[in-house]
Amino acid sequence: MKLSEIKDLLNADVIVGEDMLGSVEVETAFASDLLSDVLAYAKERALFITGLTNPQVIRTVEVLDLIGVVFVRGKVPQMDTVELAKRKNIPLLRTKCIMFETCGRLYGAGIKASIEKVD
Amino acid sequence: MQHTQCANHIFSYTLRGGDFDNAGRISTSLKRELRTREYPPHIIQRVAIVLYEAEINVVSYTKVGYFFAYCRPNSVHLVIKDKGKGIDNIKLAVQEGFSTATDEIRRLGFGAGMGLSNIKRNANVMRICSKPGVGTKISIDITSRNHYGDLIMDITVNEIQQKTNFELLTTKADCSKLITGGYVGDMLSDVNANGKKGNIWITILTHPNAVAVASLKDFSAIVVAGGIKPRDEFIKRADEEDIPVLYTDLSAYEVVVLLSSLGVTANH
Repeated sequence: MKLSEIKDLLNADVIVGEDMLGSVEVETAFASDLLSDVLAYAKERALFITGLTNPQVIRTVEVLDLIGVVFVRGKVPQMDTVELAKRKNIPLLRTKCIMFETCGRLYGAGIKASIEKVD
Repeated sequence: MQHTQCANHIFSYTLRGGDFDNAGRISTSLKRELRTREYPPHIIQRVAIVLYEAEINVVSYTKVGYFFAYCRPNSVHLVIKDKGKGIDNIKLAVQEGFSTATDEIRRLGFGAGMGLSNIKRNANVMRICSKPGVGTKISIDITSRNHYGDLIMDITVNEIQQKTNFELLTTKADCSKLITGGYVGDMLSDVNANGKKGNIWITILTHPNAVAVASLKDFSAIVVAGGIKPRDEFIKRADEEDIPVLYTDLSAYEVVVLLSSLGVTANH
């Protein structure tokens, strides 16, 4: 699914990456507010759904080669987070949906879990 | 964060405590280097995760951390030494969920007691030494090999000799020995205490007693640096004890730089 479709599904604002909406293809997602868990379990190319807004979110995306970030619950990322994302070409979306609703809409539209369960 | 590249194989970085803005840069920077060198993706990914967690630990709990990455064929050896508050109970600290994090760390999305266990999960071998109030040293091996026995480098005395062009003084001693690391010293009691089996020992000593120490410690070779060539007695004894002796007029420091660039690491 294209990032532009995800934007529509979630009524999201695009903070970074307007130019990437049509090119970035999303197949999987990982939702968490704990970066260590993301580091432990997320697989590359997942869309990262979070309520965290600090620059470490972008570092984590970079370390794991994730595809982009959706900030949930209407959270506005910090300035330095946005700057870093711009520099690293990482698309950022922001939705007013809560995390559960965000995941539900994406799942319903065919986005799969980055990892289904933890063994 | 400062970054120094030493020849092809070793990267070192410094990260100050509290520098949350820069935590993660070492990880992404080394990741790029490994990609350029075409390391397998699963090694790169694990190195990146381990370093990132270590960076978060350094900015969260220490005054300063020094990161060393020794990149060898098919494996990466990471050493992180910090000046920090240390770990009281390592066994407990490695347990998932154990945390001494502050609210600031938790606000960033860390501090749930996953750091060290995440590092361990991604490492083939992890060793932690810590002294409360002084600091912590973590060494980690990440390798594509399933079986990871001893910390032996993929380099022999012979290869060192060929790549450095140091003069081989011994004629009979076995040069096919694998090297486990390097040690530098001119005080025999120090070398005796801190040298490890299989080390290549760099010294300016030319007294035959040095050979006795090398033999006692089961070193792979001696490099006599500094420009004073050992006499026949030294060489004869080395041949008898089966310790190859290489000679160069480079300084001990220069020898270390050269050997580092060939992937010989310090003892950990």
